[in-house]
Amino acid sequence: MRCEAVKGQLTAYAADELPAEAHRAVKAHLAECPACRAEMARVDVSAGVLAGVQTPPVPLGFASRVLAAAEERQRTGLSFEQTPRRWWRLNSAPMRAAAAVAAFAIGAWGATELSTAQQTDAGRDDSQAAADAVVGEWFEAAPGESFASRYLAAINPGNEGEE
Amino acid sequence: MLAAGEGDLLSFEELVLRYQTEAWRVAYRFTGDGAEAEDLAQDAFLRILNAAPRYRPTASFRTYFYRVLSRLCLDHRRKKRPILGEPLGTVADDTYPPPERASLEERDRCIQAALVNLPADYRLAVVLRYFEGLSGAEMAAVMGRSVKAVERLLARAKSALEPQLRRFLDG
Repeated sequence: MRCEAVKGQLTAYAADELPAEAHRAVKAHLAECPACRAEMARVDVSAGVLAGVQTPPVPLGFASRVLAAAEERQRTGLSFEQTPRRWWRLNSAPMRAAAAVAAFAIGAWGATELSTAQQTDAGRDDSQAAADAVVGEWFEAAPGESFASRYLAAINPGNEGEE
Repeated sequence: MLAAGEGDLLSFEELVLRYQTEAWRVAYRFTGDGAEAEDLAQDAFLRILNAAPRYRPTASFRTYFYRVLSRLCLDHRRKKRPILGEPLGTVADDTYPPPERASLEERDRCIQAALVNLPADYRLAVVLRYFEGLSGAEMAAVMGRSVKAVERLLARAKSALEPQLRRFLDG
């Protein structure tokens, strides 16, 4: 599309008054033409500046990974749900810390119940193992330097004397 | 889409290949982070597949697709603060020599930072209009608002964004 033709349509483009095909043609031209983007910016700053921004390409193998996830779900018959690892990555540090504390509290409560029933040296090891299993199932993928990972390190059986 | 709803993964794969660029672009521009963007885009496709048996073509699939993706973007924002992670790298114009290429990449990075600092609904409106080229009517259908409401939202978004964009005006 020639610059002269585009410049005559910039006002309509900014006002979203162009037919879809013309809109796409102007948009494509603006992505490649700094001069027309400068003209566009006189009408609509956002349109002029953002038209020149390049988005990185789709990550390699993206479609394959999506399909693999879909096949997995079809094979297991499960509907979509977050894995603990994804939950961990998507939530903020305070949320993760709160979840770590809650998980430990639940694990410790369960461990206490178990140790009340059979308080022996073997039972004590079992209750610690039970607490570790609850925490480990959810936080084995915790980032190395996170608050929760340091907290978990502090409650490691090796530090029992500090509890 | 209807075939995908009957468990036809080949049809689903066609959908993914057809819309992966749009999914990635919206997610990347909304989150500013490559890993989060890939998760979000993948989530959108899997949720669409999950809902496929119930899909009825009352609106264009394109509108439906953007609607699912937009909802996920807004839910993502509600669940966590946006993190401006390391961008994957921007594509600079190959006609510029290396020093100017670096400034183009920095320019794109700064623009992305300005975008991510917008409130979520402002950011989504800007992405849908200026990166996806959706019309006002399409944005209204995607965002579940009236056309007037979308125009007001976009006007507020531009007011918030443009003071930061002026220094990047070409020429």
